[in-house]
Amino acid sequence: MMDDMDQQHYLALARSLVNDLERGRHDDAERTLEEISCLRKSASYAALDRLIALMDEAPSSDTLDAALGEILTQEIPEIIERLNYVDGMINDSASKTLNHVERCLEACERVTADVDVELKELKDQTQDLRHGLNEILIAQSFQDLSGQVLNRVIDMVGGIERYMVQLMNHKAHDGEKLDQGPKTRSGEENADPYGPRIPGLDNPEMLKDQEEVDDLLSSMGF
Amino acid sequence: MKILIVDDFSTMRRIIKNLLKELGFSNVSEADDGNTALPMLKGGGFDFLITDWNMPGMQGIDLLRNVRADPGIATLPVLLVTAEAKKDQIVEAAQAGVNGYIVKPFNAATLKEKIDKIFERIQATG
Repeated sequence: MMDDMDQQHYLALARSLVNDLERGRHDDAERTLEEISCLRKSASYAALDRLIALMDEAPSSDTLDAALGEILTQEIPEIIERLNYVDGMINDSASKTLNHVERCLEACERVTADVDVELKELKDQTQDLRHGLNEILIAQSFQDLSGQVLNRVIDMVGGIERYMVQLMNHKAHDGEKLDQGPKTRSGEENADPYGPRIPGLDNPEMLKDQEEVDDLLSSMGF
Repeated sequence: MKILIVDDFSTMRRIIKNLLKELGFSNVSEADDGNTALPMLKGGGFDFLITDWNMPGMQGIDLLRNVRADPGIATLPVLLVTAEAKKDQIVEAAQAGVNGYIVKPFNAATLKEKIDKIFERIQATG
């Protein structure tokens, strides 16, 4: 944020910078640039100070405390857990991909090394190749799952951001109505899509794997 | 056999398409959500539907309900392949008339097993 005084100061410095450059006064131009960067630094610190002062003055109403408490105790830890999960998944997938690619390359080497190889053996080696390539293929499914988790994180952070903006507006236009808290999908109805299961997040409603899904379905007569 | 794969992630559509090819199914079409898939299905000619649940536009569960509600395609076998794994969701899908449910991440063997099972059951009843 820039107030009128800052703006006048910036303009004056910018004019003198152009002036210095046009006249080839490089030392002066350097000093002006230094001054601009100092002013910029102090302006952003001033904005930060205003923000902190605003937070200090915030009413200690129950809604506000509850909403901020939820952000700090639930939303932020959940975001971190989701990001950790994505990080681990990308890592595992990359390592699996490399393992299978290496095996494929070895199979290729065997095929090219043994030109006078038996036909049956050649068939087996090609089969190995196909298998390896299919494993590489399916390992890329991490992109779907990590993409879903990341989209959700973006959604959650967006909710927090919107709420913070609302909080600031509330302070600026004293008394503007405030929502319950940042709206994210985690509070939605059960039947709505939740996204991939995150091992670090406790969700007792969620089944762990295909076996549990199959068990549930067969208990329903499937 | 003509198969339709519905998923908003093209990576997943390609993976399933290639796995189906390995299993001997090469007549495969793709759609990125229920809204695109439904008119294709109503257009006729499809023998099997593989769909994701969570998609922008029409979700997989609503696509399944729409299929079951349309007399022309009501008996189409439907396999859900999704990361959604809440108990309520699986129950909901079963009640909506799904033929199989695969939870992501899955492997090639699981896909083959579920497809085989669906067609065994259809042959046994039909």
